[in-house]
Amino acid sequence: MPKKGGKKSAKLSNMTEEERLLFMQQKALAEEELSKKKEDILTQFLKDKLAKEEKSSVLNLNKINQQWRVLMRETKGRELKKDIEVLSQTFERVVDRKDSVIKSLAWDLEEAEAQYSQALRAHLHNLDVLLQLQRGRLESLEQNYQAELEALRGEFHTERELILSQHQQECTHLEDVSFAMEQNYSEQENDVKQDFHSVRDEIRNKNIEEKHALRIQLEGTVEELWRHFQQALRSYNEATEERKSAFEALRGRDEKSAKEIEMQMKKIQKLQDSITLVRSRLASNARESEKQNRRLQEEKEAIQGHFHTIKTQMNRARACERGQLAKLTLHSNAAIKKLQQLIEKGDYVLRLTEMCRKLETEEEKVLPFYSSSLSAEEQSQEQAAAMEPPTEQLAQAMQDYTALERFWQRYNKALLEQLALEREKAVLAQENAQLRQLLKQYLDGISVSDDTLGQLNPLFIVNQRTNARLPAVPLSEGRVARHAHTVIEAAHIVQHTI
Amino acid sequence: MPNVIGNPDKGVFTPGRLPQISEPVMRLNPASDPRKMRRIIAEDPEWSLAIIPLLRDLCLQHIVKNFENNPILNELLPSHKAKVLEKLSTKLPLKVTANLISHEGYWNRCCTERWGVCDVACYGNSWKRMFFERHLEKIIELFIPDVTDIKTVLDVVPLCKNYVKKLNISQLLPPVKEPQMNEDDNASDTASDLGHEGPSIDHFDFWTLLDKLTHLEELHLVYGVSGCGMNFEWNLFEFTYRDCQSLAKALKSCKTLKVFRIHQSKVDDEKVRLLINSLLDHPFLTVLDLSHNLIGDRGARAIGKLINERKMKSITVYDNKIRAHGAQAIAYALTKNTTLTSLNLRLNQIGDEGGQAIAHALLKNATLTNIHMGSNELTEPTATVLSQVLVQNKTLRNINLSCNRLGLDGGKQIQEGMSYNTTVVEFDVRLTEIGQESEYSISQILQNNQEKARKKLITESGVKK
Repeated sequence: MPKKGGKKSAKLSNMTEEERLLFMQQKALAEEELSKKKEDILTQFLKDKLAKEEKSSVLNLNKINQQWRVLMRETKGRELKKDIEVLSQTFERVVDRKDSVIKSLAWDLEEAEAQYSQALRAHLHNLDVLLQLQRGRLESLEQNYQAELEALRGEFHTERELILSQHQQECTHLEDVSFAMEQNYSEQENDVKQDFHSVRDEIRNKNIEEKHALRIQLEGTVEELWRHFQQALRSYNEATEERKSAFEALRGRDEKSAKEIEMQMKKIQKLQDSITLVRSRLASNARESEKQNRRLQEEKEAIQGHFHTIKTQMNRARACERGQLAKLTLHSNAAIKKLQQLIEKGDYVLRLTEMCRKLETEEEKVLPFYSSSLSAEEQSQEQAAAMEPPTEQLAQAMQDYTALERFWQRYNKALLEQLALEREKAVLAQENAQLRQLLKQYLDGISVSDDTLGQLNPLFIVNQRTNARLPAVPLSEGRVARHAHTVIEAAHIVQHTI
Repeated sequence: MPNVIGNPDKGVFTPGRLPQISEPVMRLNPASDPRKMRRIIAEDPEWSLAIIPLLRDLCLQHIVKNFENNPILNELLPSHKAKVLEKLSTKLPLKVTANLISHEGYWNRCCTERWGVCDVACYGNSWKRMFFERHLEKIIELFIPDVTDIKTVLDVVPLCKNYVKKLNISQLLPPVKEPQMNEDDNASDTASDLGHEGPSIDHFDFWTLLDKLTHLEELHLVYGVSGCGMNFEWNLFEFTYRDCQSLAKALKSCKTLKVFRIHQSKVDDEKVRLLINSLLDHPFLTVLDLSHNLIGDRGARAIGKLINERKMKSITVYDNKIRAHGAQAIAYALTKNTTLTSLNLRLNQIGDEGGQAIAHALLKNATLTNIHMGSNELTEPTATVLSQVLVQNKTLRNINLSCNRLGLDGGKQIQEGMSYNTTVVEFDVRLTEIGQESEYSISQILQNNQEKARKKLITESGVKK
């Protein structure tokens, strides 16, 4: 910018150095700003241009694609058409071939059908011929059979007739013979009958005559016997007249006595009945009294048993009560002793507190229980842990002592303070020792003595190291003290472990 | 045993006559005859001790040798005639022998020589008839149109026309294709062309033959080739329209035909209508068999018409393509019909509609005795209608419903129907799934009916006696 340079140089001469400086600075600044603006504008412009270019390029690309596509489509279309034509031709050819195949197959089928029907007809014809032959044969066989049957039948008939005629003949023959025999027999029969009749008559006559003779004889004997009998009867009757009258009298007395006997018998019967009745009543009464006696005995025994059991129960109860009473007294004594021990403990504790009180700080006197030093999280954790049921025995035992939380707080605080103080003390002691050392060193350095001159100068520091002989620090010092690990052979411990 | 001619008491043994009772013994054991023991027993029955044969023998030998040129037979004595016939060669031309010799023994020899084992019962127990029928059949079967001369056939005809009653032709050859005409074939195998220049006939034309065979009663035809082996081609089995026309003309001309059968020939509706047209006025036709063809509903209608116009006794349309409509046409014909005794509709596809139609027709029809409806895709509804038929119809004797899925209910229906029926003697229900119970009860009823029929027969025969 020569012009601006020129202006600048003109203006420069008018101002003082400072003003020139300022002005130059301003100018530079302004120039810078301008240039910056220009640059910005340029970049913006360029960016716009770029964007436009991009857009237009995209658009052009699309246009070009489209044009390309149109062209390609046309060519593709042409190709496809050609393909289609070719394919259609091939399809037509294939279709024609298939048609011809189908036709030929159909024709083959027809021909096969015709052949089959031809063969079938010939076959059926032959079958019919064979069937006819067979039927003819069967008929001839049947005729033969019929003929033979007829022949047999004829033979049978002739035989039958022959037999029948023979039978007839023999029947007639037999009839004649039987007729002749009958006649013979009848003649004989007549003769015999006549003989028989004559003999019978003779015998009858003889019998009648004999009968007559016998009758006469028997009548005579019968009359004699009758006379004898009558005589005997009369004599007997006379003998027995007297006995008859005696018999009558006795009979009358017998009747009377019989009646008396009857009456007596009746009386006896009645008395016997009454006796039996009374006896039976006696027996039943005896039984009843017996039963009652037994019942009373049983009741008595039952009551006795019951009485015994109750007595034993009562005795047992009394013994139990006595035992319990003794236990109770023992326990009460033990409780009294314990309580007394507790009282003593409590007194001891109170004395201890009084003693501690004297040693308390003022702060503790004022605020005996400090608020917890734990953070909120830890507090909540603590509370959660406290709420959990204790699993170990010790924890369970410790539950009884939850009330002593406050006490543990104070105690722990005191313990912690003690430990802190001890630590401080140790630290301070060490510091003290160091300081003494340094002092000694210094004093050694300063002092001039024989033994110190012999040694190296402790105040001389080279490379920030002193060459003073630092005394060996005693091993028992806390900072240096190694943690003493006592190593015990396990074999010694094992003997004492459970 | 030397066969002494001059001893008629011995009983001459000729092959044609039945041997007498002592003959077999003597032939088997010549030594058993005490008078012949210790004599020479030669194996040759012609041998005789006489070195020089009798003049009779010489003459007869000469006759036999020259029979072709000079057939002398009827002028001979019976014994000589028998001898001549015994010795005649079977290779004599038919011209000579056909109308001259009616002795069965000669023809028996001819047949056995030419064909070995033959069953003469199929040909009415006549060897002559068998020979001529088979001869003519062979000629027709080997006839190749345009190659074989028709004269070969026509020559034979006058010889055999009196003896041919039945022709059972099992193949008909198509004309042979000339190789040079088949260069421009397209890739299809079904060469349905029968020659590009067209032969004059496709198969043997019966027209020339049938009107000359005055005794012909049965004609069985197959338009196909049997035993073609590796030369199988589909065109060997075509029954063309021209064939059909010529056959129709031929049928019209043959007036004595009673049984006509054309099977396995791919006869379809058009052709069958043509054939039936020509059969409508036939005087004697009673049995028509169109099995194993391709007859459809229109053909079935034609058949129905035929049933009523002619007095047909038996119709067989086994293994065709008749459907419900065809069956309905036939059923309609049945209702009006009074002559048909046997109807075979096996292996068609008449289905339930057709089956029901036929069953309804059977309610009215009173002459049909045999009906075969197996393998027709019939099911339960048909069985229901059929059970009604069973109750009412008194003429049906033979019913076959095998291979139809009638099911258990169908079986029960039929069982019920059968319990009222007294005439059905055979009822075939194999493979119908009607259940064992139904089958058993039906078989019981059938046995009862059979017993009744038998008793009736016995009483009738007793009455006749």
